[in-house]
Order: sequence, then structure tokens, then C-alpha cells
Amino acid sequence: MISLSDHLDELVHEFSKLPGIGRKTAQRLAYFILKQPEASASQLAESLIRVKKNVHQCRICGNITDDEICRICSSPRRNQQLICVVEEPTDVLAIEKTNEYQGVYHVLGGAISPLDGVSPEQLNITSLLDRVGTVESAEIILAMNPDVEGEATTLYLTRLLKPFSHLSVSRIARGIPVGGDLEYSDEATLSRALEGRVKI
Amino acid sequence: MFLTDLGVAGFRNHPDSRLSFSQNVSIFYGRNGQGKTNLLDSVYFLTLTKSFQVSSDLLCIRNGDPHFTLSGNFRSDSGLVSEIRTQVFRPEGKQISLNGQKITGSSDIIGRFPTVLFSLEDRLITMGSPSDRRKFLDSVLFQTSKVYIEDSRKLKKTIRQRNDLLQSQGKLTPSAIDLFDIWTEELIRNSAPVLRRRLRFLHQFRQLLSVLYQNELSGFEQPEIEYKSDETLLGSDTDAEAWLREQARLYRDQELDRRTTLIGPQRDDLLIQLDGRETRFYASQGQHKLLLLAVKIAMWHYLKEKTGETPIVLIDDIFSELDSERLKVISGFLPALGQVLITMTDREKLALDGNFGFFRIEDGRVYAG
Ligand SMILES: [Zn+2]
Repeated sequence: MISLSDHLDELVHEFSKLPGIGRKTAQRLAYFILKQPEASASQLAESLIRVKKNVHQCRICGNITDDEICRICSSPRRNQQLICVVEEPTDVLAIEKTNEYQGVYHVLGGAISPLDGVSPEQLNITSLLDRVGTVESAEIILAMNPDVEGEATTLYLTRLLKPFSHLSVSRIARGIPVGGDLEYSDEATLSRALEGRVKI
Repeated sequence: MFLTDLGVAGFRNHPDSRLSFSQNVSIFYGRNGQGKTNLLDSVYFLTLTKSFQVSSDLLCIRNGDPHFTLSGNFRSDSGLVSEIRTQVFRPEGKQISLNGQKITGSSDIIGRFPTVLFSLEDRLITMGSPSDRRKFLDSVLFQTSKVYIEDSRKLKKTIRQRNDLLQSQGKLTPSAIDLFDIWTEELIRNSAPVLRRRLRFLHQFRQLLSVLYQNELSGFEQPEIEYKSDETLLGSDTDAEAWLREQARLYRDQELDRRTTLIGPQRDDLLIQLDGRETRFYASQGQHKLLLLAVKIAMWHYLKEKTGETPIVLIDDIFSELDSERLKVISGFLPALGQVLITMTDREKLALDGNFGFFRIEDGRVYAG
């Protein structure tokens, strides 16, 4: 295939690395950028850099934030003794949408998956143990996705948290459609699942 | 369920075939290699979302075509009309819609249009490997339980994860062994529902099989079909979880040593017997054929009862194999099976009176009559 511009090719290549973007779409995006005024391209570029520079993990819960401690962890209205453990920041958003949950979160950053090379050491598990070690008592809700990786992570955490007698550990009840990710569950199902959590 | 209209475009050797069915029994006849079986396969693909002839969807696209399109109009026993449309594209892509709505998973289709295929490959149920017999189990249970489909997928994924954990490590560290135990627990939890459903199925199925073989098909022997796991026969009253837990305990060291999963229903088998002797080794050709007919007709009855819908029957080329005595027996059965689509080389072979639809197939084209 004949190349028209090395710079353009490079941009196409970069876009095609993004999830869900095939070569064709990458090409379309690159041509779109090319046709835009320079200002909007700069805006996009700066925004990309700002995100990388300024957004990081909350020191307490591992959720993403612009600050050192996220808005949820620093809110005085939140019950700090109720910790919901989730896989991804998007799961926090999904649960927040229910407007039912008054506790705080702990974001693991994924689930145990040997096939994807994810072992417990790569997840925010040590920080969870540190965190629960400092409180007098707490209720932990495990809210992993209902797939095999989420379930294995739930089992792992359950065993890990069992020795802490000051903790009450539960996991969200089934009610999330089988095979569905937390992120895609509708609010009604999620709030029902939260209410119906079972002690483990 | 009754297939009223079928459209087959760009599928195998059919450029664009359209058929309408009105009689219960339809016969596709013509010389070999003209595309009779491909028509049955197109119906199978519509109702079960894959081919029974080839393992890759892409291999179903006609040479030189960019995609294939199948469409089927179905009428349920209660008179409801629905349409399935299935397309597969090069280099990849599959789109299935039901009544104009795109569906996300094949489990939205499978089981709603119950289908039973009779083919020469059926002999693998008695003669083939354990995996052939598990395939038979799945072919029934996938159509009767969406949960079973989900459970089986989960089990498969669990085993892949567990094996990857065992195989990707150099030396197994204590923390890797801890994780192995977690995946064992996950394996037990995901295996138990699969095992339970299979045992419950066999409990009912063996009775159906026995009645069909002896009473309906006049077989002399007593057929028996049993579930075999790790050389042990499991009855329907087995505590699936306890059995799996015990297996996990027994094989733990071996699994860690050989670095692979050695337990679970994905390794199980069926023991099929006539008068207490394993058919695989002792039954005659004729007994095999009769038993397989009984198995498939029993499957038809089971699907009908569980789905509440009369299954569509596809019969591929088995008539050339049957002697005239058995031909007479099965011919007597046909009209009672609801809609039946049959391929054969010679339209006179099934010397039947009755109201049949005939389609001559020649080089991927269909001629009515
Ligand atoms: Zn936080």
C-alpha cells in the first residue's frame, strides 16, 4: 500500500492501539483530526497529557481522582466503616448512579486472571488490608463481576479477610444477569443486589 | 415448530435458494455433492447458530462470496410466527437477528427452535470417544437450558484459567498453590451445576430410551445408558458437589505434579449398554443402528417435553444405510415427528404413500417437485 504521509501513518498506528479501534476506524479518526483546525487538535493533545499528568489513584481507595484523596473518600457524609470492594472505577460510577449507597469504595484495578497475567500482587489488595487494619470495625461488601475471574477474586478476598474478627464481610447477591458485567447492570438491579447482600 | 420459508444465499454451494414448505415431510433428493446436506445445514445453522458439517463459520461462505445470508420463517406450535436471519461476513463477523432485533448471544436462539439431527455421524455416540458422547449430552442440554449453556461456558473458562495458572509458572510457589486452591473451589462450584443437570437428564432419558428401543422399535435387548466419571457410575441421587470435592482431594497432588486439570465433568463419559454389555464392543451393526435411532427419537421426545415445542427433524442420508425392514419401521414413525426434512439420493427409496414435498437439488439450485 502506498503511504501518503509518515506522520499520518503514525497517528493511524497510535489510534489503532486503542481498545475497540480497528485499522479502518483509526484511519477515519486520523483523517478527521487532519481536517480539524489546529486549535482543536492541540486541545485534544493537551487533554491527553493532562489526564496522564493529573489523574491518579486515590491514596486511600485506588479510585481515580485529580487530587490526592478522591471526592468520595474525603466526603464527611460518607460512612467510612462501610467499604464496597469493586474491580474498576467504572463499577464505582455504576453503583453511585443508584443513589442508594452511602459508604466508601475500594477499587482493586481488575480481577485475578492467570490468562491475562493478573495475579493478586498486581491488584490493590495490600492497600485494602492496610486500610481495614487501621479501623476498629468495618463492613466489607465484595462486589466483583459475576464472571469466573470475579468469583475467584471474591473467594480469594474472603479467605484473606476471614481472620479479621472486627470485619463483617458480605458479597452482593446474585441478581445481576448471568454473564453481565457490573458496569452494564441497570440501576434497579444493582441497588437490589446491594440490599440483598449476603454474609460470608 | 414449523419452518415455512427458507432463504439460503451464498451458503456452501447455494448461490441463492428459496424454499417454501407446506407438508410435514419434505424430501431433498439428487446426486451426491449437489447441495442437499447443505440445505439441512442451513436450517441447523439458523436454529442452533452453527454448522454441523464444518467447525468454522467462515467455511460456510460460498467460494468468492463476501458473506452468506440465511433466513427462516418459523411458526410455533401455538401459531406464533418468527423470523431468524443469520449472516456471516468475511474476514470476520456474525450477525443474528430474531424478528428484526439483533441478538447478542447465541443462547437467545438455541432452544427456542428445537432441532434434532439424524446423521451417519450419530454412530460416534456409541462408537466414538468420550468427547463425542459429551457432545451428544450438550446437544440436548444446550437446547433445554440456557443456564446450562452459561454454566458450561463458565466451567470452560475456569479450566482455562486453572490450567494457565498451573502451566505458566516455573516452580510453583506457596502463593501459586494458594491460588490453585482458589481455582479448585471455583472449578467445583462451576462443575456441580453442570454435573447435576446431566445426571438429572439421564435419569429421565434412560426411561425414554428403553421404551423407544423395545416397544416402538421392537428391539429385543434392554438398553441402558449411564453416567461415568473417573470409572465410577454416578446415579441421579449423587451429591454432585461432594463427589467433585472428593475428586479434587484425591487428584490434588497429581494435578500439581502434572500441571493440568484432571477432574471435572469435561472428562466424563457415558456407558451405553445392551443387555448389560457395552455396545461399543459387543453390539452388531444392526443393533447399533437401531439403538441410535432410539437415542435420537428419545431426544426428540425429551426436547418436546422440555421446550414445549415440537422439534424440527433433519435426517441426513441415513436411509441409504438402513435395510428395508428398518426403513419400514422408521417410515411409519415419520409423520408423527412433526416437520421432517430428509436428504436422499433416490426419491423412490422411501416408498411411502402420503403427502410429501419433493425438492430436486442440482448444483446448488433447488427445483420443486
Ligand atoms: Zn478514595
